[in-house]
Amino acid sequence: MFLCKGKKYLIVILVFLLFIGSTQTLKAEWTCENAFDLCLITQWNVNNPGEAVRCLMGYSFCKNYVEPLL
Amino acid sequence: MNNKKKKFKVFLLLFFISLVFSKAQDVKIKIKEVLTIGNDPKSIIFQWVGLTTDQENSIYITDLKEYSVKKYDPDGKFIKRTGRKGQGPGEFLTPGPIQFYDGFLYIGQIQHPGIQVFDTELNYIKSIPLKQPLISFQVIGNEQIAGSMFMGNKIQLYDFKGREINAIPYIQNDDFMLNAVEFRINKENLYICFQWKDIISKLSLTGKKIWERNILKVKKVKTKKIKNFTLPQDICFKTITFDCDKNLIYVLGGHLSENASRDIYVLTQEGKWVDTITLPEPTHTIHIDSENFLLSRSEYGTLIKKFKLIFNE
Repeated sequence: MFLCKGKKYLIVILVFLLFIGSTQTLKAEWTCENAFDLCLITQWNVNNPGEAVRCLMGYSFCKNYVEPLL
Repeated sequence: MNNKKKKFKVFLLLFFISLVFSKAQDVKIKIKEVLTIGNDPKSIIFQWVGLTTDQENSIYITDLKEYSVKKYDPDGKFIKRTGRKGQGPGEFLTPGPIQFYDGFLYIGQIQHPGIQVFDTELNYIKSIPLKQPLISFQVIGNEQIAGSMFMGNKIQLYDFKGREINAIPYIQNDDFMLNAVEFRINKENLYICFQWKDIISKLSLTGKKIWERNILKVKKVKTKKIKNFTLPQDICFKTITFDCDKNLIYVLGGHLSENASRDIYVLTQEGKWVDTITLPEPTHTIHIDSENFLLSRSEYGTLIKKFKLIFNE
């Protein structure tokens, strides 16, 4: 009985911690660096730096226009 | 006796010269907010990026989120819009820098090469093809466009057919993206501010350095390695412009300013600091019209603020 109760508490705590963790991850996710990383993964061939120019330009734009407003 | 008189005259002359000189440095500048544009449903702005004014001080902006160009009168009344998403004539994917020159508007895109030309009624006129996107550009007469590139160490000059005709080198090294600059060409000189370096300089049009200033006292910006790239973290300067009668230079600071993206450093033509203006809100760019009104960004780029520059001498 005690173990069952303990398990329940444990599950509640774990869910709570997961929730906190996920919100913290979401908070930390949107930066110009992460957007650049995502751009490289999704759009451009990392092995060809020439193709990454648009991602770099996007990074520069993000730093100039977007980040000061976050 | 004659020698004494001569010395006295020279002393008087130097005294008056120093008086005039010190007065030039004693200019203090204040701003007074006079207008907000974009806060009524008719004049709605989704996110403006580029801004320019014509000879009558009508205001033109590029709206990144609406793929459009918009025109307002000097009092902020919405006049007209044009543009839509696309890659054809009069269409945009990332509308960005805009400049009024000699009756026409020249509009570039942030990540796409080429410049489109419109008249002041926002009718599409023609396109100027370019090989690569420009950070900033300036039409400089004789059907020439000067542009700064994302990676490079020179200001490239193009004709209106997009052909490279000349270049002004502004730094010798090839420092990946750290040499990116915003610039203005005024009379016989080139003025540049580096995005990722604490450098503002004035050069001749052949690239000879006249002066260089380090306002922020930052030796090197922090970098972060992401995959194969070492990226700079903090912007030093965002844009450079002039006023209309004082001939002063205005440089907007970035992350590393005391008030990030709000401090505007004002310098004389000789590179002497005269004052720092602090805007109430961060901005990505500034523009000064022909009546010395300063325009900047407000509310996440959905509004334009117009300030009067007041000089106390």
